Amino acid sequence: MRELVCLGISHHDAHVSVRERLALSPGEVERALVWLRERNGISGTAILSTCNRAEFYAVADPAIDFRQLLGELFEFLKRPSPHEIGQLRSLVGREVVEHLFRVASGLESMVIGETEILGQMKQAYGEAHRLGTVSKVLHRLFQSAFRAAKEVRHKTEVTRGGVSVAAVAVELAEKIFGSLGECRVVLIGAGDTGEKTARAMFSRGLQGLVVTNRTFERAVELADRLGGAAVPLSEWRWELLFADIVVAATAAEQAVVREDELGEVLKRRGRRSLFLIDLSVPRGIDPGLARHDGVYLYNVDDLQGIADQHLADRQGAITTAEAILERHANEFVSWREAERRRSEGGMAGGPPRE
Amino acid sequence: MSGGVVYWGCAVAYAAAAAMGLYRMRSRLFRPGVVQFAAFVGALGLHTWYLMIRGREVGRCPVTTYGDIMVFVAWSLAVAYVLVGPVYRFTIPGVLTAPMVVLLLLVSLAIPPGGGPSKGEISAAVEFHASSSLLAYGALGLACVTGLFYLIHDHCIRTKRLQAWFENLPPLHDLARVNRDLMLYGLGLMTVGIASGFFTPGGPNHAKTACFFVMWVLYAALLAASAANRISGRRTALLSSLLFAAMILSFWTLSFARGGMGHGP
Repeated sequence: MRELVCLGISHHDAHVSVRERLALSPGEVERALVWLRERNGISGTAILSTCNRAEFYAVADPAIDFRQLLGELFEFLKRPSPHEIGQLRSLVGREVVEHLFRVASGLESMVIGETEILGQMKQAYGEAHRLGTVSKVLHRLFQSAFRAAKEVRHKTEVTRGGVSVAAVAVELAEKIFGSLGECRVVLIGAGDTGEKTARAMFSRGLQGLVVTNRTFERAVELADRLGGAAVPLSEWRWELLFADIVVAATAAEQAVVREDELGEVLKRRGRRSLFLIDLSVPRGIDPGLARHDGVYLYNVDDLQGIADQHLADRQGAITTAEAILERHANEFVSWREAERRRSEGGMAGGPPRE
Repeated sequence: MSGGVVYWGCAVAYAAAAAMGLYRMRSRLFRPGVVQFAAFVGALGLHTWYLMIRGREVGRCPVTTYGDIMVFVAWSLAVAYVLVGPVYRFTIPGVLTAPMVVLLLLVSLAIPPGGGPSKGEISAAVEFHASSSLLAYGALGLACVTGLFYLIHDHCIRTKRLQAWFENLPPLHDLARVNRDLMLYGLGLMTVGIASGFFTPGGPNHAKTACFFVMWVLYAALLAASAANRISGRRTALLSSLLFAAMILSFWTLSFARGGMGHGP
């Protein structure tokens, strides 16, 4: 197992100012993999480079100084970073296996349980595979990591539930309407919070968005950026006739969505469900609206409370996830040992006889 | 092959599907696995075969005893599971269908033989009337269950009590759609059941026909109001559950008043 090595740095170890000096662009990853492929004593390599981590995995002859080799690699890439190379954390053998499995499962992520890292890891593996730098051992290692991550995802709470206000709002919208593809959203306010929530909804298939704001020009600007339409603040109420979701993210001192002003519109829109998301402080939506049948109202505290609960659930599930990862790591190590014995036995016995 | 062997074969296959479903549910997998779904469909095939054998045995539609009725209701649940679609199959109610069917089959064994619908003259109209009425009960019963799940889900969202199992319920809109679809199927079958009652020898039972006609009107009105958005999903779900309870109660009340189950609606 000594042949498995990993040198890497992550948000746990270093500030972004250090990480950015070691991160490789996709083009550099390709050149690096090709360069490493040509080095003697390296039988497999893969590079995982994201905004939170830069990690170099290899199956290498234990006699090789992998850190020195990476120094040479950075020189080849014309990156002035020999000092940062010295800061890379070094893992060997089983440590590599355990670390990779933890990374794949999101246990090493900045937000525990986030699943984007698995996609990035699959991409890193795919790139290495395309360039022919994945050896049998590395292939098995990554496939085991993907399987372990999948099991953790299915059997624990580690990846479950949004941990940001926007993510929770989107999840709730999906719990009410199913797919957001046929939903229409009215966004009141053209600030960052509303934009983030709208973007999260677009990422889940939202098609129809109407933006309104006290300053109409800003509404138009945001609508253009997001691919929606803009209406003046004085006219937004009629949009409620067709809306399924209203997101209020304003800085107004009084509620902008008021029960007494919406009576007629609510009557005319029938009993269709309406999800009101109030991200404003002070509150932008009259709490009295929650009394109406089919109307669901969540304010920023409600959403933050759910996000916090999800985060606590994720933390609580780490022990279970670690047990799953340990089993997968044991399986991988057993496989590797069996492989090693088989190859040593084959060598001792000489070439197979017919 | 004897009916008993086919019966136990289907019960074992359902039990296997139920076990696989419950095992997958531990891992929060609600979509049935290929083997699980194949076991369920195989069980349904055996179930249908058993009903055919039983029908030949009694020389009529196999709903002659209370045990038969249980087996028939279990069959209508299984058919609905396969036909209603993924929204139902991939959720908690869907996963619980196989255990429910197994339970009904076991209960049917525990019921002593005898009793049940009066065994008058054999008539195709009576058989058709009884089976379509029972299928209507099955569909409306499932609509009631779906409605209850809607109410639970709605309550969770409204009160912001989002427990872990909440994630395993389908979206409210999907539950509402399945609820409406099942009521629509049930209403169609009920129409056929009521209409065919007029062609049975001796004519329909007037008290039951009147009662079920009232239920038919109420279900139709509920569906129309729901389609026109005149009533919220929550009230639709609540009323669909209450209507089913009322229908079952009125059916049993009329049956006991007559001293037997009669021929259904």
